[in-house]
Amino acid sequence: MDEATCHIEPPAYFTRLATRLEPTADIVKKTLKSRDRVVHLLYLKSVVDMMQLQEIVVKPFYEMSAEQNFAEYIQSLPYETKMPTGDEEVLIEITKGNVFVMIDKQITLLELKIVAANAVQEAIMEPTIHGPQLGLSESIETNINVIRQRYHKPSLIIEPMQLEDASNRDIALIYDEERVKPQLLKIIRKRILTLEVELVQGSSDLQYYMNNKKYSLFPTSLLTERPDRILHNMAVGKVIILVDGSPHAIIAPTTFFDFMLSMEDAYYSFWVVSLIRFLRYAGLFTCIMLPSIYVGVTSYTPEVLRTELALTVAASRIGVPYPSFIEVFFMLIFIELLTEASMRLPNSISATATTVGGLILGTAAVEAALTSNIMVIVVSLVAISTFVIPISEMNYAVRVCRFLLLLYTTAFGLAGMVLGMLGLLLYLVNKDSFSEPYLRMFWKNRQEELKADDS
Amino acid sequence: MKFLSMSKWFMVVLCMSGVLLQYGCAFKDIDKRLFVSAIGIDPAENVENGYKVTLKVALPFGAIKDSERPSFAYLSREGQSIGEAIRMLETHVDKVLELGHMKTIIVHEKLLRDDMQSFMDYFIRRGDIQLIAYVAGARPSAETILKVEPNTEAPASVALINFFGATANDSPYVVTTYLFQLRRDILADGINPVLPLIETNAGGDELIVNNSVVVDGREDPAVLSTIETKYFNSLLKDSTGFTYLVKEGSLKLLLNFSQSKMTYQFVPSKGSGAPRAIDMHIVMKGTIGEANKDLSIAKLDDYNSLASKDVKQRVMHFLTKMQEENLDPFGFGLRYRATRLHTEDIFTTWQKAYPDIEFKVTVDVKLQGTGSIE
Amino acid sequence: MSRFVYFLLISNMIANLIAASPRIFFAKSEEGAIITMIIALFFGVFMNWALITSFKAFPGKSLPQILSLYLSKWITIPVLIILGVIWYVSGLQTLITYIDILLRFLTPEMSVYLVIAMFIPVITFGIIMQSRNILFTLELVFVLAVPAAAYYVVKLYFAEQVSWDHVAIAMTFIDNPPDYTVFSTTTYLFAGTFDIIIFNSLLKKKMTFGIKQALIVFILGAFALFTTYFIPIGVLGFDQVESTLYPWILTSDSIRMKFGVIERVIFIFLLLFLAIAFLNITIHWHVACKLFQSAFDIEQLKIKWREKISLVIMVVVFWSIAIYTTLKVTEYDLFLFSRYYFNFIPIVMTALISLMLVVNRRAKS
Repeated sequence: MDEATCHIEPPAYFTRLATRLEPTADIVKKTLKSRDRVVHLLYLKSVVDMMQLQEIVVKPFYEMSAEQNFAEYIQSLPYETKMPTGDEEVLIEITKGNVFVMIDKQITLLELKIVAANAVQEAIMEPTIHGPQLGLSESIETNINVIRQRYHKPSLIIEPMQLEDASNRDIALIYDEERVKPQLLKIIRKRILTLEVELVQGSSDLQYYMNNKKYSLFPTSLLTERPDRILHNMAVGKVIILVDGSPHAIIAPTTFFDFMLSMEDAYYSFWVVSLIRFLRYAGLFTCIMLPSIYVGVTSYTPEVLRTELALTVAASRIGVPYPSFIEVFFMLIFIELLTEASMRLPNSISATATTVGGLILGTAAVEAALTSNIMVIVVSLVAISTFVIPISEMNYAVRVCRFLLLLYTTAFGLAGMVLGMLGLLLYLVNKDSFSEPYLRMFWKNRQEELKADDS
Repeated sequence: MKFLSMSKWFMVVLCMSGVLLQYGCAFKDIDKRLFVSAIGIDPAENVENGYKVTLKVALPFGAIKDSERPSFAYLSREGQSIGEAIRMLETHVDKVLELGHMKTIIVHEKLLRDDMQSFMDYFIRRGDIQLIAYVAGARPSAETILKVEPNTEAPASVALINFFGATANDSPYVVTTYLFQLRRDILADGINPVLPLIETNAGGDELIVNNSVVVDGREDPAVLSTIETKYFNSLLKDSTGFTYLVKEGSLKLLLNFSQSKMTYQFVPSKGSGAPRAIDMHIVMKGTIGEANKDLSIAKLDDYNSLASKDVKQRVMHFLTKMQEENLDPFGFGLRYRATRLHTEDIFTTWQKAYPDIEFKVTVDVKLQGTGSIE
Repeated sequence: MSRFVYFLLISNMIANLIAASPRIFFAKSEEGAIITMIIALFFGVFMNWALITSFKAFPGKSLPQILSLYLSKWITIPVLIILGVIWYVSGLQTLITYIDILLRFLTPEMSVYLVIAMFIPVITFGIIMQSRNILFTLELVFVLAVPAAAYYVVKLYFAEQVSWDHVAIAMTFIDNPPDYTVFSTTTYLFAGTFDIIIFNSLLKKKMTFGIKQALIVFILGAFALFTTYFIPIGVLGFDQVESTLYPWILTSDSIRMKFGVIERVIFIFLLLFLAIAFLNITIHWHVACKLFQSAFDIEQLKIKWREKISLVIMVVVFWSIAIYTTLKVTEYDLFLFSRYYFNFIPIVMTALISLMLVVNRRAKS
């Protein structure tokens, strides 16, 4: 029997592919042989589902009588992937978990991959009380499945793409053909295909690279793990980009207001949502402006305060050796450190860190007259209101803005603060996300407004 | 792109360096400022035609909750003008004098005449002084009044401020006059401003505000008595909390009025356009607050007419007194100008007519109940 | 009419409060201010109608584009340069006034250079932005400012500090003969719409100006005029109101918020108006910038970076003149010069409309 197998030399093409994959340990070259029928299999055992391979390929092979039958059988299998042209592409397919099957001259790729991390994960970044509790998984197929499950329309298009980077990751553009603007699709495709990067790890850094500008503060596309957010945006004609191996989807293009929207807004009654939205925008303005207001008011125009408050603030600053802006910078940096630290630590320790940092250090700093009580209140208020912003990328951007505005106010006083805010507004309005205006008002229907621009 | 970013950076560097050079001249921390909470103006003792300026500076205290008493510092200085005296006072303290929180201007009774123009000029010309500061007269002197620290004064607050503007004290005996209002009324033809008069008790630990003065540029100001102040306030400003005692035989009634409304019209004399009389109608609504006999709701009408008659008398007395002194705190002249199409001599016509004008007052008291018991 | 046209109109009306116009009205308060304002109100609405109607035939085209299509270069270039200068001066006037106000009321100790430096980066960024984004900014600032502004206006009208007797006295001067300066100043209130000579390139829908629009413009104008003129009189008194330099600042300082976070309304006013003044300067200078660019025919030049170089030159020139004049001009000069400027405005408006009439006729034939 051994002799017989030895006789069958694998075809040249098969050997060529095998040798290119060669030194890796998980490569399997197999030749199935029964009587005069021969089938060559080439796959990587770490990414292929062995059980399925056994069930679908190996077993039928020995049960079927004629070679012709088996070739037809393989071709009829639903697992077949399209055969790419060129060796390199075929090899990439094999590394993705396809089984290369060669029967005589017929070559087929069967997708029998096994993905360890295909479980749908709980939504951690954007938790809501109502709405779907589960987010996306780390497998692109599962994610597409999650989306399809909620959006039954033939116009939903899944457009596969492949990155030209080191990892050859699978990417899919998902959009509703009837709603999306063709111009936008063209821009996004071009952006992705012209990327010149070494390695894309997942959607987060893809998003960064797609931003197209090296120094950019505000995000122009949105990362989400919530299927309802994906659908919400797809339904208004946006494009979703999924990257294999990443539990986040990119939504593009985005406007500033998208970042201020929590999916929970859709699940409550009008007045409740109005209140929540009001709070959210109030939080946004507080966390950008409050430190600046403190500096502007205490050091430039204390007339703004009521007399009683002015006296209280002045009293709380007695003995503080530094000018107000240094005090604010110190305290802000301190609170940023605290936030960063509690994010990196495991849950059980982070609570301790916050307590020690926030409560004990804060009180001690006031006792030691390094800072004023009012300052501690201001900083805590700022820290709390930062977290009201639902999307974390915007959250980070806003934290940076705060410092810039503080600089401007320190130099120019309250008027500087207002001008600084206007400057920020100008910057945001002037920004565009995939050639759509980033910040603008929508009175009527979004689509109508956009159409009015084009006409 | 490169060109643009270059120019951007260049701009940023240019701006920053400019800012750094200039920076710091307006930056002054709140604890490096002294908040002047009130200013008192007296006639100078040593400088001829000068003023003595006293500043009441509110000092911030370490822990406000723990301190029992507010703490103030007083600065005094005489000078030819107020501005000069304040400039000199700036050299007496280690911090910046901040006048933005100055909310009360107290002027010695004697100075409430032609000097008014010059103070107001200073206060308004300085951009940082509030126009909603209160102005008040002081007896015996502004300095004494400023230095009174009443027992009810809480830390980090100034009692003088709470009296006015209906923030804390709502009494109908307290007249509130803002700086801008004073300026408006002094400069306008046909109205005389009324200022509250602040006094103190013998012990010097209470502030008493229940009289007021009518300021007229020419002569010494006329002081309104407590009762007149009350009438002035409730007729012109609809102050609430107005109480009124009616006596009729052995019956004594204390009425609490919650609303009062005054409307008036000019009655032109035949022939010339000059006004002959003012037809005044006062409506007051309220309840009975205190009585020494049993009352019955059925007799409310009687009490109404009783009260009406009495109120009318007092109002007439007040109006004629003002007329005799040729003062016009209600601004009849202003109203007269406002209701006639403008002519060159409209105001002189009024000035001639006012001393002889006849007041026809009808008072309509409407008691709405006898309080919570019958 | 597009909503942006209303925004342009309103922003100009509000910005005028802090500029020289109230002072001009008060100076003439006993010489026919009221009757002139009423006449000018109708004239202003008429001008708006004429402008919108004359641009109706050219949706999506700015004035330089229209002129270059139908008129010879010898007319177009001087017209554009004159208009550019007028728009530049309009922004400059607001800038100087506001810098003066900031120095006087908000930060008296600050150096004038620092105050100018504060405006330079933000306004420069505003000028070089795309026209479309300027309109969006205008809208956003309006949305953000509306709550505070509405509160402020309601507070003004219901404040007990306003003496309506003084307002009534001011009204008794209704029978005086009209005055040209007041007329031109009032007309300037309606100049906001004229910004569409540039922004029309973005307003691609055909605009209509019927009875409804006329009524809205009329009511807006009447309300703005009434507030501008009568409220300060009510607060500061009729007899001496002309002696105040910034009547509106003193008026806001006289209003008190008993229970507000801030007791002195003046700060709300100052900061709110900073935003409006900023918008006004940006819009006017942007229009001026575009007019100059098309006057010098930037598109035709064959230099690399022509757009950017022209912008840089423009910005540098704009600011040099602005800094020089801000440092040199006294309050009195500013007042006098604003009066001359305002007197010029109705003539320019009429001339512009006549020009559009000619263009319209040529376009039809």
